[in-house]
Amino acid sequence: MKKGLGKYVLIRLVGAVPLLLVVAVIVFVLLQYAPGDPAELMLGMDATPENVAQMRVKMGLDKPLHVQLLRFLAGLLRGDLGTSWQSGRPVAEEIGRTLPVTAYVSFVAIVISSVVGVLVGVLSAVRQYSLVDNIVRVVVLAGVSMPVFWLGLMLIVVFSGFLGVLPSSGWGTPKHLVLPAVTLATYPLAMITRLTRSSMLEVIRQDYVRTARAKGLSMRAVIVHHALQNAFIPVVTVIGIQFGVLLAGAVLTESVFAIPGIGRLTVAAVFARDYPVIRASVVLTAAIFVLINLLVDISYTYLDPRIRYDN
Amino acid sequence: MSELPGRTQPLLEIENLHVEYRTLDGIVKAVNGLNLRIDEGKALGLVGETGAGKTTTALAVMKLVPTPPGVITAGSVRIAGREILPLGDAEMQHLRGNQVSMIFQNPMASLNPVHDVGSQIAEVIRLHQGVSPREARVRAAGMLRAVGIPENRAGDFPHEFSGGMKQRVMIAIALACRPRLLIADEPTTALDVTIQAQVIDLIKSLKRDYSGAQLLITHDLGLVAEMCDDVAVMYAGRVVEKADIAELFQNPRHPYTLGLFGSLPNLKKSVHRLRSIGGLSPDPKMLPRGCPFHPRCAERMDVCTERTPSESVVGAGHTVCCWKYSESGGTR
Repeated sequence: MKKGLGKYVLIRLVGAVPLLLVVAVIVFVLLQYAPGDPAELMLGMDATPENVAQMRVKMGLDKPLHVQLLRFLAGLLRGDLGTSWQSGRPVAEEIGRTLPVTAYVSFVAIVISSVVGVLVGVLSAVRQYSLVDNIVRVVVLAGVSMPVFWLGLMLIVVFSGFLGVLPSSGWGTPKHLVLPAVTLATYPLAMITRLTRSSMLEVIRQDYVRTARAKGLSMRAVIVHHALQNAFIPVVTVIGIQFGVLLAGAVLTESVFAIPGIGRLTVAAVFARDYPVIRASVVLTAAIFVLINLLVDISYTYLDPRIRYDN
Repeated sequence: MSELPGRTQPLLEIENLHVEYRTLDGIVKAVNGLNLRIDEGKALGLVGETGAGKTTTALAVMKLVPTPPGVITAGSVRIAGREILPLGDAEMQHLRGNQVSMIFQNPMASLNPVHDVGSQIAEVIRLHQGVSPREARVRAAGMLRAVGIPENRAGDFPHEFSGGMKQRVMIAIALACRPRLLIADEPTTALDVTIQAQVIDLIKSLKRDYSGAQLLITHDLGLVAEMCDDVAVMYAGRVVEKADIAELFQNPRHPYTLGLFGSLPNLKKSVHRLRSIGGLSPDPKMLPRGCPFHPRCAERMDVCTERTPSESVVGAGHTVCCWKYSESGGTR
């Protein structure tokens, strides 16, 4: 571990607590402006006013807003996310059920897109304007512009419909993982490829790359030992952001493939005005981004010795 | 060396070298039929304005002209008698950093920011001397000491050094394998004047121990006078005049060389303005017909606008490319 890094991490983590509380307050306030009464929605069209009033008491909606907010925040600080109004189960349990699914698919997707994206991006940069580079640039453009749900549907049509080799939806076996992971990987893959290419193109024009060549190193050795590490900093940043986006729940992909992930949980909660679940998943998403950004910032210190956090 | 005194074996011989950059705006003719020769153990100064093709010449000797857009279209480059232009990558990689080394103009950007300086020196040693990583580190530390940097700074990164110290590290990298030819491309241009003197002294003092011949690229005639045995003056991609240092400084012949000396300040005379050579160096995309200097030349003759002059011998080891001195050449 680098000098001063432990202290830096501690400061960042402590600093994240007020940030997450602010996020919690914002999401709480915004939900107050959402149309529809959760109690009415819960009971359905033909509920009597008495039933609704009873339900509001049960849900704590009869209390003044500041009391509701303080209860929610106090719960958060204790680690208690409350109970889902829809299922009646603890929110922590709901998230514990769905987050690992999303995390699994996201992790596979980000690994695929990072490994392939960096390799293809480097190749494309080293052979700038070659046939390979031109093909890569067209495919990348398509990858960035393609709507995810459409890609998912096409993959289902081809691999489940015509070829019949992969399941079109559901969850449970490794086969179920393939299509969603590929779908999710496409956009980050295109982004990472494009960024690696441009970053690499910039680095291989640097004087120190010429110095390395003048030492008698082969082009391959120059790329691996001198260029890659320098080109990697912006790429790591984007990998981090993309991983965060995936973890926050790929609503469309999870819906297309009927995967029981956190994205679908959240969307279902929004439709049902299941405030405890919405609030928890928003705060959780914020926490994930904070953590990933921290990891990215830590990785900088290993990539570039000029970046230090010990002062 | 066992050769006769005065005329030893040529270490670097460049004949009729042509290099051009093929860009979208047109073909930039950077080097146009350049001839050069450096003898074993000698230092040659290659002088000329910005854009004269000095750096391209140096890169051609390393076969590091950026391609595309650069292409070596014709000519011959021999190092210690061996023709290098047809050599493949692997053979060139064996020569670079080993037999021929180069110090670049901008030390600030020439070192890799993410590796410590010790490993950047050790890398070239390990590559060419086939020693263990540990031994390479030891030798790298020795090179650091040789360029006047304490060994214990080997683990420091380039951003922790000043510009002058970075250039010292570059010198250590270039000399680590005791190259037969050291190319120094404006090694002091980017440095403070006080640091310049230190770096020059360092190159001079290390030359004896570490390097055979030397090609110093500069636009600084004072630097050439201090460091070199011979001088070649370059204009629009060609060498227009060459001689040993005493001869050239006492007896410059080419109108361009005369112009260069004329633009030097004279400490004994007080002048209102320094003299300059009228006009600009030609656009290498559209070189003038005939002698490329003729549009700026005060002594222009008809033939100068028609045909390119070839080398005329005007003294011992002193050649000039100018119709003024050509026996077969033009008439006034």
